[in-house]
Order: sequence, then structure tokens, then C-alpha cells
Amino acid sequence: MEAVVDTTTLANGLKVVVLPDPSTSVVALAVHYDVGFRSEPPGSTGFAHLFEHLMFQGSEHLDKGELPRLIQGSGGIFNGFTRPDATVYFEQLPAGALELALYCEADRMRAPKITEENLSNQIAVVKEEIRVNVLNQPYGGFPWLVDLPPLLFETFANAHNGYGSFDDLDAASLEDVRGFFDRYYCPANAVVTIAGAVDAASAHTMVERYFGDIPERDVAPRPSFSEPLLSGERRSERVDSHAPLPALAIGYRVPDPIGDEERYDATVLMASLLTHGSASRLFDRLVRREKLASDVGAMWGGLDSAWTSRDPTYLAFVVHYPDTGLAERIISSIDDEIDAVAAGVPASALEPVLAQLTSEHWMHVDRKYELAVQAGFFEQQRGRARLAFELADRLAAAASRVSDVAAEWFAPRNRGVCILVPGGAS
Amino acid sequence: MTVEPPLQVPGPGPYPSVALGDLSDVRMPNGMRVVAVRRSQVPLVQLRLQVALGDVRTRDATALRLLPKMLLAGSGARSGSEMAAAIQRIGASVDTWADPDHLSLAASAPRGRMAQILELLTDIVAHPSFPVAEVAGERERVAQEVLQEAADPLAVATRALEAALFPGHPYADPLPSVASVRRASRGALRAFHDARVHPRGSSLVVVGDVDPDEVAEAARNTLGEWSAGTGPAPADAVEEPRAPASARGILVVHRPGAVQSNLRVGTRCQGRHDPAFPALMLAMTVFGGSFTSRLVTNLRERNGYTYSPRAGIDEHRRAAAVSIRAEVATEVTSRALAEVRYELARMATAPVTAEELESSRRYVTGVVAMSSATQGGLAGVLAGLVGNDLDPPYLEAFVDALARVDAEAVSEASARALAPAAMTTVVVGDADVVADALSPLDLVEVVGR
Repeated sequence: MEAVVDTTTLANGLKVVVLPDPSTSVVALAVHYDVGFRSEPPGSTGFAHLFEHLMFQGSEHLDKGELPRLIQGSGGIFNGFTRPDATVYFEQLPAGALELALYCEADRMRAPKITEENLSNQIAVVKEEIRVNVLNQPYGGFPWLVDLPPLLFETFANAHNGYGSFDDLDAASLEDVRGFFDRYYCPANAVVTIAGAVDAASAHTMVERYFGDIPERDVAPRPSFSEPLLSGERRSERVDSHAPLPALAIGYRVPDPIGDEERYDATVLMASLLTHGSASRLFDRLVRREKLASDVGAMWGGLDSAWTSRDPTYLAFVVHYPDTGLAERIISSIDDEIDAVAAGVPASALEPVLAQLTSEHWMHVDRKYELAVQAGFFEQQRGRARLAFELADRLAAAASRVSDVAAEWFAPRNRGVCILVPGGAS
Repeated sequence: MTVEPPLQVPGPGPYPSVALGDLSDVRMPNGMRVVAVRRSQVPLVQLRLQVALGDVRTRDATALRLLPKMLLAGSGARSGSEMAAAIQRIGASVDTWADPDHLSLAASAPRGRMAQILELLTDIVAHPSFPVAEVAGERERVAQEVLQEAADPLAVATRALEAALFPGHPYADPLPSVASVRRASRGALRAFHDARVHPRGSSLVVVGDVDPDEVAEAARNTLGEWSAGTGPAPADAVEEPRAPASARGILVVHRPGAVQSNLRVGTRCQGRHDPAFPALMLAMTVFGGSFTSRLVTNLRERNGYTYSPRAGIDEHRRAAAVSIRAEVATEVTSRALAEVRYELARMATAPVTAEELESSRRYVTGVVAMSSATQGGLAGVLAGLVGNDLDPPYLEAFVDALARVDAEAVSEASARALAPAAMTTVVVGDADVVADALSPLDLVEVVGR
């Protein structure tokens, strides 16, 4: 099937992407703002994520609670999430409710309405989110929150805790909220993506109707967050008082996802070859044959996928294992497997990985909100929404670079190793 | 300069609907039911295979955890490693798990690989070989999984509520001991498989870019060859769980130093076979099943006590339960529980508003429609129905029934299922802090201190 990707830019600078699919009765809307926790200044850790919460607290024509009521009352779902380089809001709805969702998103892009009371309420809610996901939970935040970033990066922007400290959250003021909105939530700093049951022409008409009159504002140029690679392996250790068993993560700085695209794509392929599923090389070795670990997986600096972050970023292998004494053997087995990849990977070893990734790509595309979210990232960071449909082909084209990338990037000097020591009763 | 009036809030559009379309539903001679629906938006097939496990007991908790892993650890002529490679080579995936009702396999494959994935699934479910080395390895992995679950306060709280609602029954989902996992023998696992994993009472659901009749044909040539077995016929299902002791007081599971308390409140309720189920579903949605629900509005958006409180219906084949969960800051534990009980009492004694009813009706219908709009979503929904002894058209009938529920029916369902007096309450948290604070609300019993 030929995928249609229809992009345009409104006069106020808002980018619009439409991915129509006549075969479905569902439509999804995603709005990506080009700001994430990398942009938080010192003293404001966690602010980008707190701001995401505040965007649900009411806007020019919608009181607190009305957006959820309208979206869910139409039969739809909604959510939002914050990443190093983006804050994303999305809805998925029955086809006829798209216009309602556009109204809601446009209203809060025009002017959120945040009160002192709503601000304190959401600071309390965010603290409970941090408690449930991090402070009160075994392995909470490991290794993405406080372990790997400070090992792999030097600058505050890249190294700090993106959930934020309670002190910084408590210090957030309405003035900070206004400043953050004015600076980062301008139409020209956003992408609106629509995927599913709508035709491109009516989608564009509706977007123009609701977003077209939002005044244009200048976008401050995005600073470079780049920093040098590591000069040698770095290590850290942290005791988790809730965890009954150890875990370790090895994070590697990786090629620029956009500026060095082919090598980055090869990195994605290599990560799949090594850790994706029970046919992967590290699973086969660490779990099945050597029985050193109960589980091995990969995670990306952009958090949930390889496609949400700009440079600089990282790939980490995360291993859960039964006994702290096994760490060095595990690391050495991982090094062996990386060396084996660097020595050469036949195409026949990558074909099954590509077959698996291709099927997963189709499953992903079948869920319209995931398609809208992914296409929005590609449009915002690369100006190429169409990549959402071309990913499998792109990865196939990078197959010949996998060994080179393993040799050049996956050496100990370019990594941080963090070990979580169990402090919990077992 | 003219000031434009704000644009009107657009309407929500037509009421969402669900239509299954062409469907094939046949039973093969060996007793397996095969349900197939064509959905062609992406070039894949999604498969869900469920085996009814018969009269599983609580002592089978260890086998329920190990067996699904053993299925992928070697079967037919293939080792676990060879099976994983064979699955990956055709671009497929296979997951396995079990609960007291079913052994479940979920698979996906490119549309042109349906015959191969069915062959692999047949080997996986019918011919596991329980290789000695793999049994030892999986035992250790499950032992580690058990240790991790025992340390997870969310899992501990959920399990404590289930134990109170389903006393002595496998639906309580007891965590096996590490020792029992390490003791599980290859022979015992094989015996469990031989006794309980049979095609009769099992089902295959296939949704994807395929002709439903071709699915039935391909299934006949693969899973259809799975012998009906000669062992003793397992009883139809787990025994019906007896009614729990009447709810009394608050059970506090001590977790020293916890910065949050995990609240769990619940009671048994009618299941999907009860004609009042659609009304109960809407009552639960108004109470705590959506972001706009009373529970979320009160606990999160008004009071900031918690991040993601929710309520829902846990469905098993032979029973169902209402459950409410909220992870709240330690210092507001008693206030949060008081608000939960207040909202329950309000549901049980006063009518919902017309707006709440219409909004929850649309929301539940929309969620059903959207989850049925993807291949994987529809396969999961249909497997849930078939495994619960319902026919696929139930899905359309359920949506129709939701449309007919009135406020009075919601009130009746609420009075029956949401009365605070009928609720069991469990709190996992620092008993040194929360036990005294909770005592004005109810009798408090502390365990683990």
C-alpha cells in the first residue's frame, strides 16, 4: 500500500502532518513541542514535565477538567509525556471527534490557564508520580534517571534528573510557567500530526480553522547540547534499598541520530541483534547458555524508543542477575559479543532481525496514536514525517555498517557502567 | 480591529460503533474452536491460542509460572534457541503466559507466514520437550522473578487484596515460594502438561490480512492434528470460589520506611454473564474508570494525594471482583481512604448525573471500538470473550446493551457492588505511621510488624 504523508506549514509557523488511512474508523492527533528536560535550567529540574501536567489544567475557553471531559466524553483517550528533547500530547478518538480534539489542543496552545491552586495541586501529583515510579519502587528510575546521565555527560542539561528534585518542584512559580510557555510553546515550535480516519484536505481545513489564528511568536534558537565523548570508561554504584537482586547497565554514547544517520541506524540494528527478544545474541549467551542473568534488554537515551532523541544520546544494555559477584563476568561476555559483531556480521544474521523489526513496524503503524507520535518526532527533529513508514527499509540499508559501528563506538572508553546493589531483604 | 467570538466547541461526532464483519467460527474434530476475522489494514496476522486448564488448584502456582516458559525452551525437534531463531526468521513473535483459567499463547506473523507460524505454535503448545538444562535455567529465572515480585509494593498490595477476595482459591494468585520453584521437577511439569494441556476446550483466534476460511483450513492441517489426548479429562474449570468472609476492618501490611501507602479496596461482583454487567461497567467508569471519574477528580485533581488512582473490574472465568487502587503519600493515607469510602458511599446511595452517564457510555463504547480497530486489539478482545465462554457477536451485543443502560440501572448496580460496607481494604505501607492514623476509620489489623 502507498502511504500518504501530507505536510504543510501555517502562516504562524505551525507544522502540520496528515497521514490519512481510509481503512480505519479511528483517528489520532499528536502535538509535539520542541522542548524537553534538556532545556531546563539549573534550579528548575523537572519543570518541563511539570509543565506537561499544567497543560491539562485548563485553557482560554476550557476550565480545569473540561479537556478530559470532552475527549473522554467523545469516546476518546488522551495522554502526554516528556522526553529529553520533546513534550508530546496526544489523543485517539472515534473518527468524528477529531475536530473536538483539535479545538482542545488549539485552545491550550493559544493560552493555558494556570492558577496558583492548580500549580500546587500538580506539584503534589508529580511528587506522587515520582514516589510511585522511583522512590518507593525497586529498581525505580534505574538506569535512566540518576545513574547513566551523569556518567555519560558532563553538562547540566544532559546529566540532570529529568523528573526533578522536590525542592526545585516546590520552587516552581506562575512566573516560571508564563516564561516557559512564552518561550517554548509557540506555534512555530510545534508540530501537529493527524493519523487515521480523515482525508488530508479536511484535516488541513480543520487545523487552519482552529490553529490558524494563534499569533506567531519568535522561536528562540535551540542551543547545541553537544559535548565531547568520554575519555575513558566511567563507573558508578548505587544501593537500592528496595531491590532484592542486583542489576547493571552499560551505557554507550552513540553516533548522532540525525547528523550521522547511517551509523545511528546501524547502532539500532546492532542493539536488536544483541538484545531484542529470545533469539538475540546476548539473551542466548547470558541467559540461555551461561545462565549468568535472568534478563537482558536495551534502552535508549530518548527513553522509549530509538527515535525520540537528538544528539548527544546513548544506548544502554540493562541486565538483571542473581548475584553481585557476577558483574565482571557479565560485562566480559557482553564485550565478547560486541567484539564478535565488530569482527563481522554476515547478512544472513541480520535478515531475521530485519524481518522481526519489519513486522513490529507494521504493528506499530496499526495503532494510530503511536503512528502520529512517531511521525511527529520525525517531522520535528528531521523534517521527515515519512520516515515513520520507511524505517524498515532504512535499517536494512544500514546493515553493512553494523560491524564498523561496533568497532568504533562500542569500546570500553566510550561507556559508563552503573551497578545497582541490592539493599532490600530477600 | 474586530474581535472574533471564540469558535464554538465542536460536537463529539457520531456515536462510536463496533462491527465484526465476516467471521468464521468452527470447531475442529479434536475439540479446538477456531475463530477468524479479516482485518487488512497492515500485512500481518495476529493469533491468540488459549487452552482451558481445567480444575487448577492453588498448589499449581509454581507450574503456572514455569510451564509457559518451558513451552519456549524446546519443543518438537527444536531446542529453545532453535525455536527462537525459527520464529524470528519468519518475522514472527510468540509470547506465552498462564493464569488459573488458561494457558495462553499470543503470536504475530507476516500474512504470508500463517502456515509456518501455526506449525510452530502446534509444536510449542503440544510437544514441549522440557530439556534438562533449560528446566534448571528457567527455574532459576522464575525464582528471581518471584523475589522481585515479593519486593514490589504494587504487586504485594494487589496480591493481598486478591487473597482476601478469593481465600484459598487459585484466583488469589499466590506467589510460590522460591523453594517450591527450585524444587519443581521436570517430571512434574511434564505431568502437568500431559494432564491439562489438551485441544478440547481450547481456542484459536486469528485476526489479520487473511481469508477466514483459509485460516480454518490452515488450522486443520496443524493444530487440528493435535491429538485429543488419552489422559483423564480435566474438569471443566476451576471450582467456583466460595464467598469471602464478610469484609472487616483494614489490613495493614507493614513496609518499614515506605514513603507511600498502596491502597487496595475491593469486593466480589457479578461477571460478564450477568445481565446487569453493562450497568456495572458504566458505574465503575463513573466511579474510577476514567480520568474524569469521581475517584480521579477527588484524589488527584482536587487533593493531590496520588498520581494515578483507578478502579476496574477484574474478570476471571468463574468470578469477578471490583478493585480500586491508589498509591498515596504516607502522610495522607487515612484522608485518602476516607475520600475513597466517601465516593463509594455516594455511588451506592445517590444517582449519577445524566452527563456522567452519557459521558461514561461514550467512553466505554469508544474504548471498545478503538481496541477492536487494530488487528492485535481485536484478537485480544475476541480471545478474552471466547476464553470467557462467550461468542464473538457478544461484542456487538455488549455495545448495544451499553446504549440501553439507564440511570436507575447504574444506581442498582452501584448499590449492589460499590457499597463501602461490603469492601475489603488493604494498605501496604509503614504501619508505624499509618496504623494509628487509620484507626478512627475502622478496625486496623497489622501484619508483618
